[in-house]
Amino acid sequence: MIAPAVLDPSALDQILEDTGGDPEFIIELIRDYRDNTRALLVELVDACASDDPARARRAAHTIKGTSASMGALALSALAADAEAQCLAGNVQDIARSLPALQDAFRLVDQNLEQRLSHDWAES
Amino acid sequence: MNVLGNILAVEDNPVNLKILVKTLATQGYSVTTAANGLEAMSALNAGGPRAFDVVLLDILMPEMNGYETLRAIKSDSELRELPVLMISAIGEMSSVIECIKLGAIDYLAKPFNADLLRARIESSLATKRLRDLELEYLEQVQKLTTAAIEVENGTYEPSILENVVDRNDELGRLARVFQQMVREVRAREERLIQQVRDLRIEIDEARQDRQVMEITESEFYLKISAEADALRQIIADTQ
Repeated sequence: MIAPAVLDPSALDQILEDTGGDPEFIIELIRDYRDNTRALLVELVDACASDDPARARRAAHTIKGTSASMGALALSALAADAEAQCLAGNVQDIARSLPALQDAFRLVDQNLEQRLSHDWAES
Repeated sequence: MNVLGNILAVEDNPVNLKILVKTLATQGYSVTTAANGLEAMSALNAGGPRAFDVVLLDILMPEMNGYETLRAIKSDSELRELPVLMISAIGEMSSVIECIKLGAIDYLAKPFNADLLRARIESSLATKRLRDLELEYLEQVQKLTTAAIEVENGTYEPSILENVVDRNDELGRLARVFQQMVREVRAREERLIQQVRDLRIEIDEARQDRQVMEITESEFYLKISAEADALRQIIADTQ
């Protein structure tokens, strides 16, 4: 099975096309996504520490959804697994997969940074 | 650019909401946002049933989720005709089926495909416009039957059919014929009332004439009158 892409570039290209081709919007969106996902990963760690599967599920669900929209498919897939574990009530299993999620996000973050400096250099 | 429709987008995920709003705005829609079901219900209740044409509703949200919001919309007599399109992640098919059973018109998978989004919204808008026309027709049929009851009770006001007579269909023709007939009956009634009024005046005048005649033809009157004539003659002779 082919591993999902760290960052599928066509996703952001498609968003740019669908939203009228404004690079400023994409720059703002990427900033929001990075801030939001960072906060959600902290939320997920807290929820696991306090053994709160409902809170952990919401965080994993949102990471899954936004990452899929941005083309961060590998991170989205890991978040989907974490959400499934939350639904099964296995909060401790999620805790074990947290490093993988954090690593995946670090890669996405680096890729987005490269894309920003290459395609949409912030003024 | 003309606004193609007013959409209420209910989604707690700020990044996805941002993409959704910008995509819809680019397509020509006016968008109001809500981060959960509670905010959505406030917007719907504040704006009234005609403020929005379509609701895009996420399922998993804090405070009030998509199911609860959908139930609240469908149990509200003012809002229940509003088309609700569910937003769901791939793999939540059982949730989508549940929502369709609860009255959602369709669903949209995340991440959004802009063309599919536009097609689903256009289809929902077309369904809503048809339903609005149907409801307006039924409302105007009701006005016509109310007008008939009012004619029977003598309380009819032509303004009740104001919008119905402007229709270019059979219902409009029926309303115009009805209004014309009521107008003719009323004019006939008024003519009849005037005739009765004139007749009463004639009767009163005839009665007065008869009473005068009864007096002037009486023996006593004739005698008094003759005496008055004689007195006038005496006065004339002495002058």
